[in-house]
Amino acid sequence: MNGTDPLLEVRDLKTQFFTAEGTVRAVDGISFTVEEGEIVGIVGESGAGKSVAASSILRLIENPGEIVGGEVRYRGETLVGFEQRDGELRERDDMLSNEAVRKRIRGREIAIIFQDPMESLNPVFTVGGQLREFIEINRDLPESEAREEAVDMLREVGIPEPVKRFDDYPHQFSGGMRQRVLIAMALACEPSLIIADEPTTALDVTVEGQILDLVEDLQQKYGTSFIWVTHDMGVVAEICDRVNVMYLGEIVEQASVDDLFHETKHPYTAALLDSMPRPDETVEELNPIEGVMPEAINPPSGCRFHPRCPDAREVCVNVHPENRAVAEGEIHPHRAACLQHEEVFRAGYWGSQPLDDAERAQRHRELTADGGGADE
Amino acid sequence: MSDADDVAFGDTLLSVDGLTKHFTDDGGFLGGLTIDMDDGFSVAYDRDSVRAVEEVSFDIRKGETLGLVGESGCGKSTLARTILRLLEPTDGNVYFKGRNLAEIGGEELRSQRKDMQMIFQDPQSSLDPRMKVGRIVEEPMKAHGLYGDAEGREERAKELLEKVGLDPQHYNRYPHAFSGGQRQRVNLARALSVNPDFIVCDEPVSALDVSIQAQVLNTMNELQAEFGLTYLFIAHDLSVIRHISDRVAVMYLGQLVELADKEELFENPQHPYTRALLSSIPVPDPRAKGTRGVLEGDVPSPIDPPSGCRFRTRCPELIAPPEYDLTPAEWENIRTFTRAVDRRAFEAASVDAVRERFFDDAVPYGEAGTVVDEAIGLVCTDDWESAATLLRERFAEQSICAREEPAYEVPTEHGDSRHFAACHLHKTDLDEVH
Repeated sequence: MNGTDPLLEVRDLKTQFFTAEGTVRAVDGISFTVEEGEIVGIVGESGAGKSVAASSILRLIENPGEIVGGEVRYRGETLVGFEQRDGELRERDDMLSNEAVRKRIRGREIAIIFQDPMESLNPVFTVGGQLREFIEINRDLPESEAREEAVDMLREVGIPEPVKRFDDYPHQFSGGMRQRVLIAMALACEPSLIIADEPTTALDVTVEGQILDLVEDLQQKYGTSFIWVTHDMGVVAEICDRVNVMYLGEIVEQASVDDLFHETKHPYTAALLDSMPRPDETVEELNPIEGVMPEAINPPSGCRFHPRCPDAREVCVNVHPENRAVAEGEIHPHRAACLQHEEVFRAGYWGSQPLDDAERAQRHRELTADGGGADE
Repeated sequence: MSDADDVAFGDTLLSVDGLTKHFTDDGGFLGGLTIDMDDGFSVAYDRDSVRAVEEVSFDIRKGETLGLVGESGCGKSTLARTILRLLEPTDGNVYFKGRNLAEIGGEELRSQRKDMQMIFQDPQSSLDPRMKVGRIVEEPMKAHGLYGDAEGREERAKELLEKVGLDPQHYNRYPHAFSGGQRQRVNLARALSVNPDFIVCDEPVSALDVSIQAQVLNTMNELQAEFGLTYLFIAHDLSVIRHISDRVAVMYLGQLVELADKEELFENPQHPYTRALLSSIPVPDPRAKGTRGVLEGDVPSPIDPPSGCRFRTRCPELIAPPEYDLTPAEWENIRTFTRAVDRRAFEAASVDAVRERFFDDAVPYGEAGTVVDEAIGLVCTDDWESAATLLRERFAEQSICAREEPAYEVPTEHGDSRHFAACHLHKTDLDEVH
């Protein structure tokens, strides 16, 4: 491993769910990297595939879901790796076994924090006991030392009276406190990467603020990298270094946080930012994105955003844009999947006929017909 | 809508006066029974009450949107339900068009309800999955005997579906065929079906994605203008509140702490809690310099709320007790130390280590210094309980914040509405103390 390799590299990752209604292409060929000490955001609306992408990295996908292609590499090890052989997609030989992922990677190298802490903590064991056991097993410490370590961790993440609270059960903790316990648990084995899946969504703003502060402090202290999954552009702006915007299973824009907000290159990102009420200024009229996100079973042709896109043209209906570099960035190029960037895509966007509103609404209605028609 | 009791736009439509709601633990016959084994075998019978809403007063004017914001558990929803008499108030009055809702009952209350409707947070569970949306919208009309026969009601329902941005053709569909945003529109149509004057919206867009949220908020604004509606809009999201409200009330632990015009509240907040809340919202702009996480700890229990100002246990601007003559830096150290001891947030290795950690830049002298020294001594002998009690009794509980309930009107800078802030910092003769 040389110094320029990213900590984590995801290439063309695909995860699908095989349901009675058809194949749901929840994650459809996404690529991104995480560098050492970086906080990388994955942002999008519900159903965009953010959480499935996060879980796929640690191979936590359960039936009827399956990772069906692509590659995930972490520090020279292959967590996920598929290759074409005899016309068929197969797991590569260098892909780690389930046991190796479970024993060596999860928790020790890459930890994950979920949105609902009540689901991650066992209600019939004490909080301290669960944390102690986790440390005991993963770090091979004797029980008494593991207990001391657990108390220290609880204090570190700001649990009041950690010695006394050690023997409390999860239901005796508030939501914010439980989320702190999970952060303590994630940090306990000093992993290099923590995947946080909407960890502050269920919390109040003041508690969310406390947690974000805590994460920033801990990140500086331990140099941990984060993948932060969220739907909240405010949280992205606060803590992320780089951001991936997801729409219907694909990454449509990828940039440093400043470029994403101030040099926006994809109409979906722009529309998302435009539709939000703001806390720091009074917005008289909101500009909502038309319609709803279609199902991932039968995504729209061409660019998947075209039925809702204010800038869509004829060519967008037929040509599917890859997520390509469209501008320089600080370290990584600014990528966007939009044909407007003619100099990169050369699909004849500007010469193409703009889709008028009626046409777009019609297409949208067809796509979401079983969902009760367009929202507007 | 040509009742004699019609209220003109801008006049008070609803007036809440000293409204209080306490819940007692209805654990059955033996629910409040406690047996103290340490003390021989004494049996005690007492019921703790959760003081969910306490002494809340405000007015809502016809045609306006009053935003009600606060963290989870602060009593927002209880307040809304008590106003509508879905819950019996423990104390206080609610006047709707001048009539005291707390006093009427039975049929009179029922018919009054058609003027007041409610929309709930979860659009899924507030619609009956076995009813077609047409029937859902017609149900309240039927209950109040409006729009004559079935035909009249169907026509009205279709008209309403169109008004809220749905296709009237969907009259015969079931709720499951709609998306979350569309379901919330069905809820809106149902609420509008009886021509209400006043709608309580309890977190109506919290469960929706941002892009859908904007669609629904815009529709609500249009409906308000068209039907002359008055909204009490409850939300925890300050961005949504800022967008939709005319005036905003901030609630903390069952009480209103601040009430002002939207612009005034966001640009000139006068209560430390409001300021903390505003500064903790993540701003969707990476160039915005934010301070966040300014509040420590959790909201105290509403069973035994702090005396005086309920926010004082977490307030970053708790007022120093006057008798010690402390400098601001000394007081800040004492405050930080008191809360750290309360939370046992550090390890007390030695007296010097504790002193260095908390009182490095400003050491209190005199009586205050003696109390601090005593507390540090207690902490180092591992007697946290006594140290916490000592500090609390000698400092925090001597503050005016602990001894008097605050209620002040402050000068307005934006707009012309009155601005209320429940904080002793606005007590005028206090200037030299702080």
